[in-house]
Amino acid sequence: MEYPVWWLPSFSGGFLIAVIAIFHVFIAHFAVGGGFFLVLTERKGYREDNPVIIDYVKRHTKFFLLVTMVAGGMTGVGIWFTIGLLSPAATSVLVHRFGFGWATEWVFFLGEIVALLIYHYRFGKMSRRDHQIVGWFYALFAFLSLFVINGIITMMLTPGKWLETQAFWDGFWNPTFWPSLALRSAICFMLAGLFALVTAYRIQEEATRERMIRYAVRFVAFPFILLAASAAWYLYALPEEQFTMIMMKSAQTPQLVKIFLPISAVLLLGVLAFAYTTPQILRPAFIGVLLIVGIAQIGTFEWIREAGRRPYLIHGYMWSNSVLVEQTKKVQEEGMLASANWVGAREITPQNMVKVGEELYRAQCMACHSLNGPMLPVEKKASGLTRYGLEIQFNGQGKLRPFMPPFLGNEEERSAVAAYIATLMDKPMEEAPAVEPKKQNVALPDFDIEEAEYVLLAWATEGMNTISDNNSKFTMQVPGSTVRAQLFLRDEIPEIVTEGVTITYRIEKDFSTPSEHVTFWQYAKQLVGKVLSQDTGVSGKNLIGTFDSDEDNRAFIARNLPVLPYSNSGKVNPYPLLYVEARTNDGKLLASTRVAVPASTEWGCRNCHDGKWRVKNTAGISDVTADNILASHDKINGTRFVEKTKKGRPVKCQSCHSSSRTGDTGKKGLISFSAAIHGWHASYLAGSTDITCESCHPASQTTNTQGMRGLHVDKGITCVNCHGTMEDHALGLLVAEKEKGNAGAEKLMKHLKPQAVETISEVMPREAWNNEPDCSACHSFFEAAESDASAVNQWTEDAASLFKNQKDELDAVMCQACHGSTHALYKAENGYGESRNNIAPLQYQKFAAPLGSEDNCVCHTMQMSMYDSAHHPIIEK
Amino acid sequence: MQAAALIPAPDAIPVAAGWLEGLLIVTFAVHILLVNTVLGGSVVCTVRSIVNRNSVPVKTMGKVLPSLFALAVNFGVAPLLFIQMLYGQYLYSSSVLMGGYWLSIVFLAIAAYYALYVFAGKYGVHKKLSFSIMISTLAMLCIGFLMSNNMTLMLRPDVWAAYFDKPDGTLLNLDDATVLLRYLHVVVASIAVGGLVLALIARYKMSKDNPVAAEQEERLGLNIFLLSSLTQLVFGVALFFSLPEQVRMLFTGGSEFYTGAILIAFATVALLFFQAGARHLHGTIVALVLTVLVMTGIRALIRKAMLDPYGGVAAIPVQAEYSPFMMFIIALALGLVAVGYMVKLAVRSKGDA
Repeated sequence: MEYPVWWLPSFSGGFLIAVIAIFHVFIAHFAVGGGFFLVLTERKGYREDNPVIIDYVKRHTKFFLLVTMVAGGMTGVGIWFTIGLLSPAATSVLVHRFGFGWATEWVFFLGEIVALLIYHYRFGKMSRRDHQIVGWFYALFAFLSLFVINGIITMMLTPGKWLETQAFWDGFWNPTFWPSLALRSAICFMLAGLFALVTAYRIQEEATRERMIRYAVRFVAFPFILLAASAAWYLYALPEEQFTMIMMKSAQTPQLVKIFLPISAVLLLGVLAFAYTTPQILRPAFIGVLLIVGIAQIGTFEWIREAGRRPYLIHGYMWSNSVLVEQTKKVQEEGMLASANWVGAREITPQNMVKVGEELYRAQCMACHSLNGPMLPVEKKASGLTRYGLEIQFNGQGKLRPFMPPFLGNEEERSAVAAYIATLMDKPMEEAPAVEPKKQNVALPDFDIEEAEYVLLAWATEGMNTISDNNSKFTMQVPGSTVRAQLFLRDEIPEIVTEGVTITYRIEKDFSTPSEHVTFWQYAKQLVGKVLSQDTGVSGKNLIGTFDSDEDNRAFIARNLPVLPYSNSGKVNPYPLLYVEARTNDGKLLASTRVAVPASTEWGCRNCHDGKWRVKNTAGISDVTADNILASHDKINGTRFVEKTKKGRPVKCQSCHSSSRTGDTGKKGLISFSAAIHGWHASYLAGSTDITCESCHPASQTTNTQGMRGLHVDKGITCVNCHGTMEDHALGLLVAEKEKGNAGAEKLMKHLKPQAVETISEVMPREAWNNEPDCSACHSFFEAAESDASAVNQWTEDAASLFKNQKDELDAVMCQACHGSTHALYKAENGYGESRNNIAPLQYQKFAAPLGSEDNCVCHTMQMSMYDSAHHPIIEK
Repeated sequence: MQAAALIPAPDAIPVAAGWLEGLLIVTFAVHILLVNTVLGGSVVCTVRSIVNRNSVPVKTMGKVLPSLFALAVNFGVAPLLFIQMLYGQYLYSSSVLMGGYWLSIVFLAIAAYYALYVFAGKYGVHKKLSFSIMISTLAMLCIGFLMSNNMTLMLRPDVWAAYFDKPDGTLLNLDDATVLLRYLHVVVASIAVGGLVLALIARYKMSKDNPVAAEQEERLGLNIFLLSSLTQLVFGVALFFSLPEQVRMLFTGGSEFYTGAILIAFATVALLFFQAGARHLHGTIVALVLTVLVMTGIRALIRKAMLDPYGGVAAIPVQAEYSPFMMFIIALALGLVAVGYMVKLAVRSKGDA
């Protein structure tokens, strides 16, 4: 943030440092172990009085000099150049806090050079004793170099007490100093043995050659035990945070940890094979392979160490993008543009947004991500997200997937970076607006208030019902809309008719074959556990049929009608009409009415997860969107859904995540579906000033469905008044899951702060579909509800207490009969017009309002005053 | 954009700045002397190898150049470290501005180094032109040019805003008149030192076998030294006048310390010419070392004068921690003793006993 960032889009993301560092450490470790190898082998040569061995050491020294001094020494300096360019702020900390450590290491480097030059140029020209002394000096200096560098490098991963004191020695003698030194020493000797083979197989005299090869192999073999032991020691010396990052949370390191020892074992077996079974003629090629295995071994180790440090450069002190951890809050509040030195713009305007986004990207993201490059290419990593999705991703960054730092900037800056990345991916800045619904007048059945004998009321129990329709991919809500009806025999004191009549229904013809529009029936066995006839719902009902008796409620019910918004003529309408008729058992028509059955497929998944609408550019989850979602689930949870669905095995979310709605018990120990989906997304959507519910649920007036309608909307009530913010909503579910001991709840709760109450302990646990907002939280019937009333954390006790299942005080008329469906209370209004949303009131009292309004008590044949209602008290206006 | 707004906040240093400045000057003096030797030697070898495919002094020089190169790099590490401790906020910034070029130094150095080994192995063996030494010289000349760029760009926060139009690490400080002169100052000095190396080799490696040729070579070497040093006077003066006026003024009475320093520098240069003119090889070397040391000090003074307007060394916070410093001093002392001991062993031991 303080320093300029080298704009190196393709090769950013640590590519340069990875290449230079891995090459350097490969040689540098050889340089340390090789020092001991040289002098020990020289001694062996003298002891055995074998000039061939001495000659071999001499030649190996030249090879050693050329490799370690030129390639090793220069790339060592190269690392300094590179880190200074890529992470100047972190380099500056290392240089300033550990400057005299590096200076001391420089002295050892000088000692190494002088010793090696003398060892090489004076080989055979000095006394054996003196020459070996110089050799030992070389080995000593090389090892001391490793010793010092090891202290500083391990500090970056496990700074220990240094974080508090920033004192040299606290950082140097950090928790992983010794295990790392042991591990690196083992690698040093192994590589010394490996490189010794490069020259040993060229010894002309066969007996000595084979002996020296086997001798070199011992340098690989014996340290292997130290390697295995110190690798384990290293892991267990890691503090918990680093340990879990390396072993579990990181996207890369758990796999790398698993392959480190196997690669080392392959190296060991390789050198054994080289020594004992490989014919001389194959050895040149084989040694090349072994060197590559050697690079892979040390590369794996270094990669684990580097990646394990994520999302920090210096653990707990400086984020990967060089911002100090202690500055996080300030930068998030004031913005990076206000905090960074090297940004050209200080303000974001619509005109400069993408350009500023690039500047912020440079400062925020480029340390780890490349553009079209080999290292974590951003356009690939973000390919499954829209611009809005990126904004949401930034909002939640670093919370649930802790290998990334939090976004270091404010909301405007998140938006700018998202705009920039979206531009890179050729994605639109704004999504096209939803297709506007058309008003459709419903031809209402006649009702003659003077003559009619019956009043038939029918309603959908859910005013917003959203179904997932890409059933070849995944299903999170199976088709199913429940409709209830009550039949009243009109009289001064009306009678509820529950016997001797048949209530029938049929969907409007155009919507009668949903199986032609979704693959649900094709996969029904996999999705709901039973084969369903086409256009039959999970409760066995077709789209033409008869209501069942709902005795407890003195009503009739048609459960889970498989209504979908797709018509055979190509229209999309999330409120198709159901024709309902009451007849005597001998077929005489008593009354008829209609119900607009809410059945939307306009899930907002694509708002973040990209892809088009599946149907008519209006609704439905497209394959692209679905695949992006499944791919994310796979990546995060290790599932293989994308692969599964390609093989014709679609996923039903509730088969793992239980749901009281579907009756699925899910996988034991996993959190419920609603808790999972809200809990996961809450960390990303938290803190937003928008009503984030509408990112996913098609509630708002800007959607095609416009699901949230009715009296509450007119009063300015939003989702949040009843359900709470995204955090509140999720926390209620998660607390319940936590109480059940289900895995993952606590992790999802970690970054959520309740908004409606002060602490998590005050959050009322709840289960989806059973514990929902309770009307009585705001409505007492004796006083008007306050304008800012909130029902959050005052959930219904059980499913029976839900608004949809409640009756009046006479225990006779269901609430929804007069008031309409949840989320669509009369008078309801949206783009589909007044009549479609208020069929019963318009049919029976000729104006849209709860039945009985303005004394229109249509069931009663005598004049009534609504304020005398026996159904429930009504507050006089 | 205000130049000062671009400068990062300095990190705290563990000891008083004077220690670091002192270590910086001394280690840089050793580094630049070694650089002069290697580059000058390489230039001499390049030129001589074209006309003479089997020259004894070239062969001898070629053999020691790789080792000197290693030492030059090693002695480059120390001042690079100390300058980062003192002026990191300037140096890292300017390095990023010329990132591509700056990083290329590593690869140029590897090329130069390997090429020196190739030359050492091949010269005299084959009869063709020795491209390896040319490659090495060219690579070193490039490195020097890039170094001069960065060492001046770090002093010029006023031009850093160019980054916003060109953030891809391809900026150089070519608009700065001092860059080319500083660069030539070092290159010409190197050629002079190359001459001196030739003279040394002639005296100590050739005189036994071929005293006449040795004398000729020594004279040639000293002539190269003298001629280059005379040219250097021109570049030196031009460099002085290319400095910003406020800096120049300090040396001409504006600051007693600066003026005194430049007078001492004049004195060492005079001594150098006197010794070289009198063909005193050892005297010349002593005067050269003195001159380089004083010139390195002058260089540090110029840097200080350039950066003082931005806060300079005084703005660096000190978070005192002397124990690592003591560790370094002890390691340095023991290290130098060990180096001395090893050299002693190398010199005293004879034969494959």
